[in-house]
Amino acid sequence: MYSEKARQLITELPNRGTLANATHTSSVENPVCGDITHFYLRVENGVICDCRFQTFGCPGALAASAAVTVLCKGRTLNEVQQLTRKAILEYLGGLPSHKLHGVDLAIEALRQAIGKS
Amino acid sequence: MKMRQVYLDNNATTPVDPRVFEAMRPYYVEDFGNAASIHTYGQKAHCAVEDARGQVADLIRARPNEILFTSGGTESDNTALRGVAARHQSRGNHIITTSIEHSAILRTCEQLEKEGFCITYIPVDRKGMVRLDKLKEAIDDQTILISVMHGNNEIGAIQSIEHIAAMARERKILFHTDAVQTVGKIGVNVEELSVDLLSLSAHKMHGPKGVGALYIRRGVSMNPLLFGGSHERSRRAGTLDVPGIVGLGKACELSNEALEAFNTRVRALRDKLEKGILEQIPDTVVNGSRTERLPHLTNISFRSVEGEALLISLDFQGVAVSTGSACSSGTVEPSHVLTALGGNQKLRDSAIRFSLSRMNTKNDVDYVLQILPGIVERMREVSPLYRAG
Ligand SMILES: Cc1ncc(COP(=O)(O)O)c(C=O)c1O
Repeated sequence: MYSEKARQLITELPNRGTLANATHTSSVENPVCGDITHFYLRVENGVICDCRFQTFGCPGALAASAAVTVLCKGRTLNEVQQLTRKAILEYLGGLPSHKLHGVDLAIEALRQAIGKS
Repeated sequence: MKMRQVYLDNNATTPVDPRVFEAMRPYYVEDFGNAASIHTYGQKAHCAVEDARGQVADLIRARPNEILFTSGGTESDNTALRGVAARHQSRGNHIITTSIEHSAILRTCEQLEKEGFCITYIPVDRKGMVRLDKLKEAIDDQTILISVMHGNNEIGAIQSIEHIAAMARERKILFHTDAVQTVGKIGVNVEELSVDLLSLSAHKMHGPKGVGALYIRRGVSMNPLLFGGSHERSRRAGTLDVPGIVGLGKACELSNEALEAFNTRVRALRDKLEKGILEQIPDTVVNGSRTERLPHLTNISFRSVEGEALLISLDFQGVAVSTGSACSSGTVEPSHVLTALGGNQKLRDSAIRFSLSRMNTKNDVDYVLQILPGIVERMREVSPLYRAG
């Protein structure tokens, strides 16, 4: 079962889509299951002022990447570098155990985005 | 306000018809006898079982003594394959089946391969129809059994069983069909189909789970799967599940009465759903044949939308459907049926199966058509793969 929070994120898909004036982007794919995530961040003075995502993947991957965008907005690059798997799962209220890899995909996509500008 | 609930996963299982449940009820607490006992308790149970045997036989136009009760479609399939293989191995060790069978057939065949049998898996064309030319080519003098499913559980493709059975008969090869998805939904007549063995299952036609039957044409010899008491004329040991069998019988009777309505009313609902989806949502395609197909189901791919994510989004709004593929622990188990059709892999992972039953209403279809376009649109906005047009 998905938590209330995960259900809400999957239903509303906040911060979905692309960002025309993104300063940081990433594109990662899970080679095994084929899930794909793109992140688009606009960073000003070290602060993520806007953040969008696109994901083709299972509900776990959708919930996790949506969660990451919500958690990133308004934070500094330094802060989001510290964002852990645990923190994302806490925000999500957990994920079904066979969906945990969705969180890894989201973290990987975030790391890749903030690692390059 | 309570959310509307719409169940469109009737190929997975169906709700038990209340009349079936009522028929079963007395055989749990009051008339609980063992159908093998000689006293009145036993004879009551025995009569109920024999009535049910008649009801099952009537539905598929068989004789009652050609019906063997089992624990469901899986056991019927296992019994057919293993029973024939064991009995006829002195004549040959070759079995022919298809690449789109249910896992109850495929996994059993894999096991038989380990035990020394040779299995040929016949491919299907893009519509999901078994390649009859390949099947004909595959038959050799070692072939003892051909097993081809009647209606496919994922895409609903209906095979021309009578043709294949005739091919088998000509070569004196036994023929089995897994008719779990067709019995009770379309007319199934074992004489017209000319099959030797046929599997069916109660829970796909508003009967209870865990009970089914295997039709065994008179004169067909095979070994039992289960050994023990002399139940079912020593063809299957084990105390009979009397309430379950009564439920199967009643489900067969009710389905028999409803066959015509199924073919008109349920088909009309399916057509309305399918047409509505194809018209209202761009970039959608129906998987498999649209003509040689069960009347109650449609399997549709929504380009660039991941199937499981769409399934869950529908579930959150009260609509139950299914996908062929399931993503678990970072690996996708793709649908072997959609894979066998060939074509684009991402499109395969975007497939949703909608399967109706006689319990569904026009309001159910209207509700799905009301919520689905918005969900797909949102999922496409989030999809890195979607380019409109
Ligand atoms: C085509 C087919 N064969 C066999 C089975 C197995 O039947 P049961 O669930 O009764 O074991 C199913 C059910 O999923 C099916 O769809």
